[in-house]
Amino acid sequence: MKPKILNGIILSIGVLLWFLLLTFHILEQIAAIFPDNAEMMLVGGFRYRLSMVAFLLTFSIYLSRVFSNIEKLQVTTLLWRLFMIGMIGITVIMFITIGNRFTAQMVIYKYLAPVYFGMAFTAMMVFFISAVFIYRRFILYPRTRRKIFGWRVFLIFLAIGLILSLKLEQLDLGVYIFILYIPFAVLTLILSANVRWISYLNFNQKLRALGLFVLIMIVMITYLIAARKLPGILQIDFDEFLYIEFIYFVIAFPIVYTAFSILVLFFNLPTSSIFELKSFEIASFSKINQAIQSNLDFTDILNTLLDASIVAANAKSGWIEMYSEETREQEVKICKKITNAETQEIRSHFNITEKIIQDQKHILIKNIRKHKALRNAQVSFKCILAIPIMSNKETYGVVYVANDLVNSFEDVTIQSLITFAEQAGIALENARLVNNSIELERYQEQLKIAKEVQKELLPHNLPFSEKIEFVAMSETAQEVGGDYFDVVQPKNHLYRVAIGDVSGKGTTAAFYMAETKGIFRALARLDLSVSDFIITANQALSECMQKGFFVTLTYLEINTDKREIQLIRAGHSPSIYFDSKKDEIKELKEGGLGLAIVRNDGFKKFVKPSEKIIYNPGDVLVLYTDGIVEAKNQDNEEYGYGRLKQIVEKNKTASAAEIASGIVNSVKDFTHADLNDDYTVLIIRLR
Amino acid sequence: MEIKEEIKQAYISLFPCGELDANSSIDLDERIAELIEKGQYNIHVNLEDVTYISSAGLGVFISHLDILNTHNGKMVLSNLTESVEYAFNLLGLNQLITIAKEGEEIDLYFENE
Repeated sequence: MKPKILNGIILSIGVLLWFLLLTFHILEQIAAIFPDNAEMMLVGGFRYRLSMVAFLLTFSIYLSRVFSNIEKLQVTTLLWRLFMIGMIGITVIMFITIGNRFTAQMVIYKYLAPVYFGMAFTAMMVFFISAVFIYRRFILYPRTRRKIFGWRVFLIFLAIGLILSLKLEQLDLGVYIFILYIPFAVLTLILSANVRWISYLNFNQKLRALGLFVLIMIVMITYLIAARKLPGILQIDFDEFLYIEFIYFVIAFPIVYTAFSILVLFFNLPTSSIFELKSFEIASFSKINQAIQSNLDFTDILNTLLDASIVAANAKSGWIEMYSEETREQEVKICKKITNAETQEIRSHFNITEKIIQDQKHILIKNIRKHKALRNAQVSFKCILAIPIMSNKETYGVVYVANDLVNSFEDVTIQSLITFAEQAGIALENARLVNNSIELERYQEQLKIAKEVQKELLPHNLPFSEKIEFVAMSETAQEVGGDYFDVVQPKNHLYRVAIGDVSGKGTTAAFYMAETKGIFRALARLDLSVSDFIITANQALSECMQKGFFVTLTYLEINTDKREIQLIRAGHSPSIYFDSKKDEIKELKEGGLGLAIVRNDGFKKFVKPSEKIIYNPGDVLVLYTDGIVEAKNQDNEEYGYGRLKQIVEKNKTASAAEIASGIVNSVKDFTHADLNDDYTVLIIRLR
Repeated sequence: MEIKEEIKQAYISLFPCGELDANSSIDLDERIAELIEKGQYNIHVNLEDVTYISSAGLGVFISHLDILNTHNGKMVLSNLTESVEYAFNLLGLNQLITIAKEGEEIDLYFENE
């Protein structure tokens, strides 16, 4: 069954019982007309009492259910609700009192009087029972086994109170006192001591709760006075009601608890500001902590830190000084309740920030007037505390708090502020790292694009015919590199080939590699001799390369009709030639200066004549860059020309592709790792 | 990189050590540039302790040649290890920069100025 429907049923039963009780009263009035029936003793008889017990029980269960599902303890809301219930009751009683006065002379008054009493009594009971069950929520905050046990015992007392009222004969008062009243009083006091909820309130909430408790107390006293002073309406004939212990219990308990709460609240008011400050510190701490986890920007972190520091130190003003990239000096980043001029005034007398960055320790100036450097500073405050904002790597800046009272920062405060600044330091470090990694990611993205572009600069399909076969393998150590190779075929029988290496590595080398390609592509189409090619290329490169950079190049022209190779080496690693007829492997060492080293006409005299080879089918030309021979293994040993020669020897009759991969694999086996330089091999197999 | 120096009457001797690659050669480059700025155009570099030289390292020696020539200065290298000498020769730099023969007095190279 749904709780709401059940509550409705319980309430209906309560109302029915209320009418039943009223009926008893009215019947008694009727019976009084006939003196013969006086013996019936309707009101106060067992049936009446049973009905009364049932009525009180039903209402108690109803109100207990209504106030049982309060999830969150909202002190003021609950108290306000209770107060309102009380006020509604009092208003009802006031109207009844007025009604009572006007109808007192009427004939039917004796029938109305029970209605008045029934209503007033119900209003009072609803208020006090509500108070009991609302206070239950207060007592059981937070819930513990012991408190729940205490509360159950209390409920048992209430039940006993109800059951006892069924008895006809009065028991001896002494027995009551010892068996019932004293234990109940003790239990009430124990339960009333449960006012833990108070410590969770801040000052304002405490003040409001105190006010409401006082109002509720006034309402309770009003009820009690009404019960004594309103004859016929609420005046409970205590002799008659003596047996309803339940009513006493239900009235006594809320009054005691209210009184306790008022006292505790009153004495707790002065300490609440300290508690609040501590909880603010904890909140600030967690806020700075959050800043560490989330990617807040610098200003947010600094603002959080400064706010927290000012409040925690109970300071008048505060500011933060940080290193500025622009002015390359410490400057004020943010300030609160202080002018920039004042911070400048301090700095002009004593650069605290600089001193702190040097010592990495906080500085407390208890009294500016007694400080030898700051004595004459024209500032409105007297006490300064400055704390470094550090991460384990560096000091980011300094947070200042200032006050106009001398010596106003305690050790505890300093400790709190140091912790704040440490946390902020970590947050700043994090923010910086995140920014860096974003920037790095962007660079990497750019480099990826550069790598793609550079790949396009190297030829994808090298010429392949029954007369000649080209195969190249190339890799860069970084995203982009300075190795270059290319083949053009200006005429059917003519191939012009270049392999080169730009000095340095990475992006700069890559740019010059692109330039080299442009120059090669342009010049290889012209009918220049190999020597003229080198001279012109040197001129072109000299005009566009930064000082200190140079290009090594091996340039060759292959005429498949004449079966002739003309090769010129400009500072580049010597090529390897396999002469199939003589079955001999030789190094083509002859050569001259690299390109863009001598940048004037003087270069000509360093150009050596080209090497001319008449080749036979089966001859192989191996061109490579220094990444191959200079590859190093873990013992810092170079791969070297010797090993390269051996591999060529081993593969001399293999296909161009096999020779190329044979060389690359051999180098990789040797180094056991990724190469730390760009490398290229270009194999030309002649047929 | 730490570069030891010896100031002689006619020239200054530099003693770089370790590997002269793109990063470490910056120090040597800056030092030579400083010397040239101060008017020291006769520079001797002892490469005894240089185990490896990269293309960027070679670039350091190339980039100052012009200015030394215009001031009638000279750069003399000495005590090259085998691999370093190979690198210089491969590029043809031995034709541009004086490389002292083994055991020869460096002073002799600067005397006839």
